[in-house]
Amino acid sequence: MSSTRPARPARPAPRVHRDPGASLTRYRVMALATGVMLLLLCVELLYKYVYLGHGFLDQRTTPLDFIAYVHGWVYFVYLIAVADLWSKLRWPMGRLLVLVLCGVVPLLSFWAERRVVADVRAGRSGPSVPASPGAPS
Amino acid sequence: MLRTALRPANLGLLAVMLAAAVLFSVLGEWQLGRSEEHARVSPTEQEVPLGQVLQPASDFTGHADHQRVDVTGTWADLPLEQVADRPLDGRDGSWVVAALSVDGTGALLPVLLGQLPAGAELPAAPTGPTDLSGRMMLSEEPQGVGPDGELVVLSSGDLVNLWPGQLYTGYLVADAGSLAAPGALVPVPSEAPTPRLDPQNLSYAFQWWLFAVFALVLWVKIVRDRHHDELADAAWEDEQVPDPLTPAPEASRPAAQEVGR
Repeated sequence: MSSTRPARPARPAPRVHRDPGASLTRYRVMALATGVMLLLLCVELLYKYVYLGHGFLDQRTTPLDFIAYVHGWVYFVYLIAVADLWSKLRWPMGRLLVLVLCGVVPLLSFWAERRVVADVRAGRSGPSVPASPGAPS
Repeated sequence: MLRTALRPANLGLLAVMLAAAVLFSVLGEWQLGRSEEHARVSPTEQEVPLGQVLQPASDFTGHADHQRVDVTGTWADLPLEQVADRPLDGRDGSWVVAALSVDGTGALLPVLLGQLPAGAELPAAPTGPTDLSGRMMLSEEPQGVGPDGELVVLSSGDLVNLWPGQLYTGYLVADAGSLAAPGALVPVPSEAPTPRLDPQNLSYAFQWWLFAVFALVLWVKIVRDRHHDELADAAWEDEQVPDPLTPAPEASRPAAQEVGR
């Protein structure tokens, strides 16, 4: 039952920021902004292609065209905020992909934001964070 | 750092990021191409019926500005109006404007027939039904009628005081050859708006290239994170060398059991 060698404490995750602080705030702000812009973009597309009936190759402009323009830039800032938080918490690669995609599917960024906040509050930072209290905290 | 970067997992990730960067760059090129294409075949150069871009007595929108249109109607029984002081190719003269009663709406469309060189004789006003092509232009700011009865600017806001009924808020620069009897009138050229790159597509193109750069910067960031983690792991393991002065807990347990017996 007992091993002859001392049980090694779980390896602590180096450089993991347990409290992502400002990174989390920046991510939350950008997730909200991207989500709202994406909904506005849906309105714009419906207005342009359904209400006005423009074709996809139509070159006529509409008063709402600026939304698509702004959305692109908001999404880029969102990507930077996602990468920053993801890197600080040493999350797995899959989660980066999920968060990147959640910024382009309507409503998903709101859901992702809640999941991220819940995970951070529960201390689920990343796979390498020790679950045992062996490591100094 | 370099050794971390050259690990197979990180090289594989680099391949993925490079593929993404190439894809994004191609998408950027595509948007740039669209931007130039939009500039080349400007929608204003495609002739459309007037009613598609402008209604009588309503706002003159960007859709109508510089738009080439065709319009059918009947010349109204109104005297020609002249807009003073409109030189053309260095020759002084005035613009001659006629009223066209547009089929379907009955509203009057100011039609710029051409320039009347100074001293030339004003031709007779055109009559009867006609089918015109030309370019729609925004009315100038109204200035009122000058003392000699000539208009100062070509403005529907001024013409509305001279012509009965509803007016269109822009004017048509009629193509050369629109008049059966132009007399001394010189056609006023109407130029296409200066082509420019479509700003929206240009912005999209720029964004795609930023995404490409982002993918590569992200790879560098990931490799740096992993490198730092490995260094920190190695430092941690160095600290875990067993301390000979502290007996291992398992070693003392058999002795304690013996005392108990």
